[in-house]
Amino acid sequence: MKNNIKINEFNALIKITVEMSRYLYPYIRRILQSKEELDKDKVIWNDFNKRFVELIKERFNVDSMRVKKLLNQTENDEIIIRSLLTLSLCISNQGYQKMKAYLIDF
Amino acid sequence: MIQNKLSFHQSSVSLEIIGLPDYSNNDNKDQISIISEWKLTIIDKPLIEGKIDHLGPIMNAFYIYSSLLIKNENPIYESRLIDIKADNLYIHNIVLKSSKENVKPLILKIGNSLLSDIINCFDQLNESSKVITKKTGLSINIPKKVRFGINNKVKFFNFIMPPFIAICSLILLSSTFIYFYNPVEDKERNELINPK
Repeated sequence: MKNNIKINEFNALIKITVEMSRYLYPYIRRILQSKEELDKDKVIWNDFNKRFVELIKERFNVDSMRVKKLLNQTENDEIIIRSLLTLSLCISNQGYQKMKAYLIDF
Repeated sequence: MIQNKLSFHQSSVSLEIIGLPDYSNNDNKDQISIISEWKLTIIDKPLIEGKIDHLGPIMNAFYIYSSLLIKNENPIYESRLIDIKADNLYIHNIVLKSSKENVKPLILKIGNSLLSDIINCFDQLNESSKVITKKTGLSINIPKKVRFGINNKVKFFNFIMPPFIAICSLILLSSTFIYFYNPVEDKERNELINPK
């Protein structure tokens, strides 16, 4: 199925994402920190990972190979960390432009 | 003359800018146009401080490194003043080299949480109307030359790899046939068929 997202919708989604990440920055930071200090504090990272997998199972097509990769708890670390880091770097006033540039560069 | 101080905070990191307004440029008295000193304080890490000449390259280093990290490219930044390398996905190794002789480089290990705090402090400085300096390139922060370099490498790699693999597989296949085909044996067989 082709993903026909319009440019306005794309921009609106980026704006919502940036606003949400600004609001949720302390939590995003805490999850990243938990992964860095896994030997001291793994509860937050494990809880987040568990919830992430649950949501993917609920809302995504689990037969797709890409989605299967997201579900694999040993393989999805890199994707989750990179996504959280991207969100945490886009909380400034120019976060919208930054996030858009990152996405276009992908 | 009393210097102005401006601070930018983000969780465990704070950036302090000390300097003076440029009255010849009609600056307000609470603005900073001439930075004399800056300090980057990270909780549980040594204080990083320097002059205006060092601030721009250090900010650029962090911006370029973070965008390389996000884009899944080789996250290494090396310069005369600062090296940043990824130890793994969530630990970054920073080497700050002093411009003074006989001063050992300062080595710091920071995680993703501190990296994002530092970059958010730099973003606040870039966006501040009270500090008037040459703003560091914020938008995605890879110089065009580097970006083109990376793209060209990838394009060249994509261009050269398929024929290269095809040629290698042809060579491998051909060599296995040569292994099965023994010309001496074939000659003997021909002689048996045609005894003349």
